[in-house]
Amino acid sequence: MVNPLYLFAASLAAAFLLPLVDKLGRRASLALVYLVGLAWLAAAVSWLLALVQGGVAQDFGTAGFMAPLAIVLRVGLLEAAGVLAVAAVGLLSAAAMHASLRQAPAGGAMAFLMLLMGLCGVILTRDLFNLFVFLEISAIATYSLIGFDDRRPALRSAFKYMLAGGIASALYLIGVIYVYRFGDTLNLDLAIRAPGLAGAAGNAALFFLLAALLVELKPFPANGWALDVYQTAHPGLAAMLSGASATALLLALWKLLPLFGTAHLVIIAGSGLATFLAGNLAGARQRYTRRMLGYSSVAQIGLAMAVLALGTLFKLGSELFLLAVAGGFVLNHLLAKTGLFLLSAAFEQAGLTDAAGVDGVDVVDTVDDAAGASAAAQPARRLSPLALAVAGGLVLALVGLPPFPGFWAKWQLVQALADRSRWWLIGLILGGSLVEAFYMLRWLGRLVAARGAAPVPTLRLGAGLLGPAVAAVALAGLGVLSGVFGLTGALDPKAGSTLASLAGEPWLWAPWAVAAVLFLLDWLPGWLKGLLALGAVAAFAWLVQDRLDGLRQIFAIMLLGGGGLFIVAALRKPGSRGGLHPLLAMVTLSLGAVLLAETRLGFFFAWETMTLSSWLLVRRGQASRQPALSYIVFGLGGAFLLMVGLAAGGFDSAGAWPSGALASWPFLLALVGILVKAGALGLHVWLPGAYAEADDESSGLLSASLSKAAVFGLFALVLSRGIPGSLSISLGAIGGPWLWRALGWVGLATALAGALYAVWQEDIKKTLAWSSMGQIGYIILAFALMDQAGWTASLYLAFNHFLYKSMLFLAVAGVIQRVGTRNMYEMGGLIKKMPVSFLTVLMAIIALSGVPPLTGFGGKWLLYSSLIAKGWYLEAAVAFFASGVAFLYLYRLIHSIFLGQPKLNQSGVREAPLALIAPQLLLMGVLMALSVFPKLLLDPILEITSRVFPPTLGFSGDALVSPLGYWNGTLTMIVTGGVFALCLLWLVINLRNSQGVRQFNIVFAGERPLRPETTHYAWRFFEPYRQAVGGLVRSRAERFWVLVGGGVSAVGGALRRLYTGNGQTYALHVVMYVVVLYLVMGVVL
Amino acid sequence: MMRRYLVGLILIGLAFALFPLLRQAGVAEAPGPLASAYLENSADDFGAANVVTAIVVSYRGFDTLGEVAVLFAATAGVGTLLTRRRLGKAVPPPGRQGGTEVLETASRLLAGLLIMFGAYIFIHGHLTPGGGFQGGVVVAVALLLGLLAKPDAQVSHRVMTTLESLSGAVYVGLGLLGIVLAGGFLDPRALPLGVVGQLFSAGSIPLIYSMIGLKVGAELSGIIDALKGDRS
Amino acid sequence: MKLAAILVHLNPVAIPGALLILIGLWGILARQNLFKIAVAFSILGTGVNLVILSVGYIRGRTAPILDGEAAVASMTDPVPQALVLTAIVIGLAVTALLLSYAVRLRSGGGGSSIEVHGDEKW
Repeated sequence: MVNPLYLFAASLAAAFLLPLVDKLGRRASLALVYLVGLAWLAAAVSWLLALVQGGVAQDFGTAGFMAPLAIVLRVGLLEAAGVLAVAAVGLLSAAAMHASLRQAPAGGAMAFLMLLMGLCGVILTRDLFNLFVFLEISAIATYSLIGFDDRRPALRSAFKYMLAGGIASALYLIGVIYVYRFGDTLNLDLAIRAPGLAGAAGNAALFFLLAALLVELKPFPANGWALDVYQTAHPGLAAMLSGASATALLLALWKLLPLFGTAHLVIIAGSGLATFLAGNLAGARQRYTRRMLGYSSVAQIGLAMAVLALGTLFKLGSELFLLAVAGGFVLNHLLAKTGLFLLSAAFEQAGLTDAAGVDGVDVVDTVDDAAGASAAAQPARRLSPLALAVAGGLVLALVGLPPFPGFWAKWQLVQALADRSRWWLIGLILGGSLVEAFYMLRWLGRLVAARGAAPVPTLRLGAGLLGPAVAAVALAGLGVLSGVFGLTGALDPKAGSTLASLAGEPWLWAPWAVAAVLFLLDWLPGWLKGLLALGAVAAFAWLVQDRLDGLRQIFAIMLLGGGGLFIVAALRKPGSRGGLHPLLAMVTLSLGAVLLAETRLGFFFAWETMTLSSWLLVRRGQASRQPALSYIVFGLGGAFLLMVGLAAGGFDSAGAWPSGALASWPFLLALVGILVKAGALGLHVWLPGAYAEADDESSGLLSASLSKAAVFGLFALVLSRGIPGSLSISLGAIGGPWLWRALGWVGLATALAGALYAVWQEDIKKTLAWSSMGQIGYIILAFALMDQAGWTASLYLAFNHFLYKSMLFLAVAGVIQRVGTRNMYEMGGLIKKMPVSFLTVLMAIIALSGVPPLTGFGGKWLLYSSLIAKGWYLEAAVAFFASGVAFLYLYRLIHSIFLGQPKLNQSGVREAPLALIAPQLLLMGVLMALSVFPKLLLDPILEITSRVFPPTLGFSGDALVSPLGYWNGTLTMIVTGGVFALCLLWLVINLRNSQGVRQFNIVFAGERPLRPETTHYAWRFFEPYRQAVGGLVRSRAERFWVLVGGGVSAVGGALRRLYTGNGQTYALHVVMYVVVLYLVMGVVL
Repeated sequence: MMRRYLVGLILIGLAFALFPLLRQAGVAEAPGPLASAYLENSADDFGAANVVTAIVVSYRGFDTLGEVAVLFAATAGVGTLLTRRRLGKAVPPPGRQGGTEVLETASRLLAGLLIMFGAYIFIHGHLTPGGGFQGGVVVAVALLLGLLAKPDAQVSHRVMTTLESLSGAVYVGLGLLGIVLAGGFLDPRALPLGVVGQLFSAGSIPLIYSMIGLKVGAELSGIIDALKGDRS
Repeated sequence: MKLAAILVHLNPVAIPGALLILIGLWGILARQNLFKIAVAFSILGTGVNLVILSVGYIRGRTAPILDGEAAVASMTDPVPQALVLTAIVIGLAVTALLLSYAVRLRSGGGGSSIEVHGDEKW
């Protein structure tokens, strides 16, 4: 292996000679800087290659001696990886700082070289005092660099940083000299074995060493200086600090870890976790991008620190496991944060940030996107698609979403903690992650949706995008590798098998692959992209068809078929509709992936992919800022619950819930996680906004198909206990009846509340959204019956809901497109202008309401008869009442939109475009077919349910027979058709008595109005009812969650008040932090 | 006022952490094994009479190289921060009051002596107390004295920079010579060790220390000059 | 008696060092003036250096320079002396940078008090 000393010599010689080289021009000196960076990079790569090919870690002595006499450097796997990271980040940062380095005095370039070398030294050295020297080299080079491009605020920050750094180095010196005194060595490896360091005296000496290192790692609350530096320094330098410096320091901590005893480890873990939580809480309150990134950076480093210590404290796994998990977090953070800071540098270069470090891309917009003060401050430009993709990748990686390394690391960590029953730790870590996801995704959402009413110029970041793009690509590559080979697979192929991976489930990657390809083709015309997306979904369905058993087949029709329909619907508008098709395809395929997952990890992977892609879809909507935010926060919160449930389930080798575990809390957690996605009452507050504010075709996909993924999740959870495998359920394992009764009531309450809310909406999409929630409530209720009749009803209702809700959303999308409003009271009399849409809505509401002859009747019949057969009489009564309420809003859909007097300004309205009509016709056909021949649908459902439960339902001829009676769909249709025909006949016969009525040809109360006026009213249509029973649906859940959010936000607000901006206070925090740590150590000892 | 009490309280806390450590450490009775090894071997290993120098330049020479790098990085920072343009000062800066007659005369008289003394210290670093840093500081004092006497005097930037760069590069070169001709980076045995106690002994230690002396002298002079605030 | 035993055992170099450390920290944490803070850092550094040297201190021994008559057995520990050299230089570098920043902050307007240089917060 290359002796690292050559590289140090080269860096120093280059730095020392730089003032002379600079006489040749700044270009030459910068070339020298890049050259040195490349040399480090090449050396690190060569070391890694040598080590991966079976080489062993090698020590390099100085002055012809080895330890203990001389300083020794070591090149091992982690060291090589660390140097690689530092060099790579260094090169990218240098490129981002290129322009500034060219303008500033040569000292900037010299300091940069020293920083690079110092960090490599921190990683490589095995000598405690030498570590101090390298820490100081990097610290002082950083101090110099903060001011190098002469930003006023940065000068202040540098001074604050120096106060903290100076105190830390004093502490380190005290520590290291007493380590020498008691351990009689400065060599790390000898110190680890030194008997003199084992006692109380050694403990105290090591404490000072540790305290200094911790302060450098920016712990809460001793990190105010770091936040200011992140905010004010050149973003390229911030990238270097957050990416390279933090990584080097973490590696130093990792090196020293064997020195430390339990008390020290407790300090590290506690401090790290506190930093993680506090950093994220305060980060959620930030206005400025870079300060927010700074908080997130501090938090993530805290987490990595904590994981390092926890791994040893709780023996979470083998050393390789720890390396993989901690390394996963570190690598993930390093690349993501570097990329984001470099992106911020590119923003600055493109003029989105002013010189004072105040970002134009403001993370919090008090007013809505389109208008207001913040929009005025922000240049009306939107990022180019490539920049958006890069930013998206970086943010998603940062918050630990699939498929990036952080996702796998998080899964492994939670799994390991769950195995050792450290629930509170899981809670803390996931809670902090959720807050971080909240503010990072809020920021991303703002970038994604940054567009005005008028077409806005695209902001191209040019060369500045290179660095972020490299980071994003590296993240994606590493993420996919860790996914395929397991987290450690990349390190050691043999160990890969011990950690969970998606090795056997290539289908789960389909959403990502298709989305990536379609995104690259996003410049194509919309119709072509639509066809491509449709083709991708069809190909996927065809390829995986033999992996679908009965239950999955039914859901596949709802999920994949639904996705296909709405992709067709997306053709309704001309133009490219940037981003829509990749997202529609991604959501659809992720729904397919949820069906196909065979392992718990795979299921969770698909679940998060679905949550994530649907969030992006929601965020595309016009006024979607707030709804999308609550959608993703609830989505991720639910996903985290699901993850803990799956991780803690204690499954047997076949992947089944252990006997009796269904009522235990891991199962409950997973259940609640899925109920969040289903929008059960209390957990539903994200639902109406998300369904209503997404693009109109996306709303349909969410409501009709995506909600079924939650239903599938329910079945999967119970059936194969965590993984949707075979249908073999062992009834003995099912938990106490109280659980299912309670779930039933949850479903019932959801149904009732959904219907009541829907009644008072003026916004047609809100009506449908609430209605959707209510219908899912019935499905949950039927599911909770836990017998054949109940499950049959549940599946039947689910399919039925898919049909009519798709029809409704498709029809309504057409109406909104033509009419230009979502308010029902602004519509009227559209029956003549949009007859097909009218017919669709009519059929859909008949199916929904459950009156004969359409499928809904069968659904309701199944539901009530199974409830009654089970003896749930009260439930049946309430369900019946809720169905009655549903009539009220269904009536309005017809009355307010299609009947009554047409609005004058809507005289030019035409029928909806073909792209919407065609799927409606198809669905109408299916609905009719299933109504006439219910066997088509019920046979496969009964086939599934009778394999799970003792059958109580069965077909006798065309009639479905239950213990309480029978239902013959064909007969119902014939009878209803006959009655209808009779009425029609009567009407036709009496038609000659009828008289055409013009719009203003009206009479009321026996009088004609003097002036023509409209009497069709629809605004606050059900106001009397609202006054009577509106109290039932005061939004308690909303208020509760607002309270929770407000509380979290208030804690963050209180925490950040610590950071007064006064450098002296920050120094005080540092000393106070050390004293408190000392006291804590005393207590632990 | 609250703040003062808080600071007092925290410092008491820190003392509470610090003093037990001092008490447990006490006074050593005899050097430990590592120190003894240095004391006993340095003459044989490197031919250096001054054991501290043997440690500083050779055994732990890598630290010293780093230390030079620290100073270098600081110089770079100071030089970047304190340019006339960035300080917003007029060119040329308003005249400052010069030193008194006594100071001017004395500084002229002492300058040569100081530089000579500094050079003596760093050249004899392997024999007597002192070495490159100490010598370098003394050299820089000569400049400081001169600037105190004549604040408006301009130091030749080019000479300083060249001196600093070349001495640094030679230092690194001597280190590399150790790999080529002896056991490792910064191994002074690249040159003949000579007889312990003589000026030309201890291999390349005196050379290295001279380079350090020159570099430190130049760097400190540079810092002093920059702090004066009239660098272009 | 016991106190006397403790006092004898105490390191005569380390105690002033520790006191200087505390004084230096007091200056850093309680003085407002940027330049005084820089001076306080020097005091802190000096204290730390004394503490480092104290570890090498052995009663009655001489400097570790092989000088013909001086026996190896009568020398102090050379290691802390070597280390302190590095520490001193690094302290110097930090002080120089602190002063530079203080000069810049003062010349940028707002005076020399640290309190006024704190616009970034929360």
